[in-house]
Amino acid sequence: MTRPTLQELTVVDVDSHLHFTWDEVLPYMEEKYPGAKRLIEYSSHPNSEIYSATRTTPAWFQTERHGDSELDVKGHGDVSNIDGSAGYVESTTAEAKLAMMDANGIDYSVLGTGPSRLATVNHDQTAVAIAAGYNDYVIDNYLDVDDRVKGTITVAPQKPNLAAEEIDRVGDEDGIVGVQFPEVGLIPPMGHELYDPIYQAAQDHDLTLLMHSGNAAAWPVFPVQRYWAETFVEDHAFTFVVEPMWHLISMIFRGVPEKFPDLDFVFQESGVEWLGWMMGRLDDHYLQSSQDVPLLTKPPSDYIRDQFYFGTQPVGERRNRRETAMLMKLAGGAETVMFSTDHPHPDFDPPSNVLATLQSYLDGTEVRAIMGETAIDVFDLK
Amino acid sequence: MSKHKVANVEDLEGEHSRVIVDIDGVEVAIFRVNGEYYGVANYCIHQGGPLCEGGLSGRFLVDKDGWQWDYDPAEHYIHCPWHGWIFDVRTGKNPDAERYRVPTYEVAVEDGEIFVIR
Repeated sequence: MTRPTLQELTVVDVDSHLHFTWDEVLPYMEEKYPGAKRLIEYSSHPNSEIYSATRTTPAWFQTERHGDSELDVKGHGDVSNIDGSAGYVESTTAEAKLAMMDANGIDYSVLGTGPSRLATVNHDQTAVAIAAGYNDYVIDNYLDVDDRVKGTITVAPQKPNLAAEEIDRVGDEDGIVGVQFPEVGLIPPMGHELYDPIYQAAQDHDLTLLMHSGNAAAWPVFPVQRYWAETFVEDHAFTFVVEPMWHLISMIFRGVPEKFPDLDFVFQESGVEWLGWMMGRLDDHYLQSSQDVPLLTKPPSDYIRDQFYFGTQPVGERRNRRETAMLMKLAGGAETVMFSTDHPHPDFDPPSNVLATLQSYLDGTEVRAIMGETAIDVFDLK
Repeated sequence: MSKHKVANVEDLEGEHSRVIVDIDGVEVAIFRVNGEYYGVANYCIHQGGPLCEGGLSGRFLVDKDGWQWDYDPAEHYIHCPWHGWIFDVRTGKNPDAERYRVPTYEVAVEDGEIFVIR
């Protein structure tokens, strides 16, 4: 049995972060959104005055902090993160990303997630402005560098019709492969018909929808019991997984994949080892109560296998890595699981480690699919 | 295959009337639905419940805009009394998932007597 090396495989990372400061993005807002731009500039704490982001305690307190003065994260703070940790300089240009990719055997990266806290912006116009400014910044700086680096645009869920217009405006740019839908702190949940214009536009433009987990922005709405968490780990361990579960359930049972059968959905950093259990649970519910959901024409697990994908990161720590690979197989394997790093965050997974885990149990076809071939199909990379 | 008498026509005259009989060790229910007779195994393939002791109903639908609920009143679905799984008495199929189907049996009526062919 051959065991391909990382270099021999086509490896696609479906969750690779960009990091940037307000200073880099704000100029892109001047022309169409000068008011929102000035509002953000006026704020000394955009994480709490523009977004609603907070943590229980500092994130990943035990890891190295690579505070980098170039990033100016202690001033306004960067657009998508509170802390300035973990080698962010590698995520601030496409060239730096490519160097990281070459060092780690990664062939393609899907860059995101952008302003993932967008759903918590109270002022709708500012949310729209941030999305447009960020999208123009990404198109200007990250695409046209190398075909191996793909980008995503984002949209403000507060204004679904304007979000659809934004997808029309920039969704067809070369190198854009998906739409980051800000699910963190989002109400109502993703199954609500409010968001149909966004799903329609993404489907019309052949763009994949991506949702990245979070907790700093989730707290105002989900879960309310987070108020009693005492440390970051209590909140993070729970919220990162359960909020996407909620959105998945909401979308399935409200018929989003039924209404948009050509749309693919990628969940990032929500873990995947729970998915096998969830598929069985949702099918059980459906068969016992299908008259709650007359829009559905097939069981939830069929929709999940056909249209939903989950990044591998963060891979749980088990004494026997074969068990992790078994859980990924139960989660749907080649049909649903896609390798991701979450670079440069402190809880990232290097591809070498994920490959070793997969190879401990899965056959070559499934390993190749999870490490990159499924993503090549989903994002149409070749 | 042989004919097994299960009831007289006057025993199953009312709409939704039913009788459950044992035929060579297999429990079979005979229903009268929409004026016709249907034979269905009294066994739910989910977890073995007494399927045919459940209620009969039509089906919820959505209309073409995908929002407004509608109800198809043709009452040919049997609901398992244990967990609510639904099967079409005419075909044995679960309308929610093609992979699930309970056995059905041919029913014949001759001279006022109802038979199951098995």
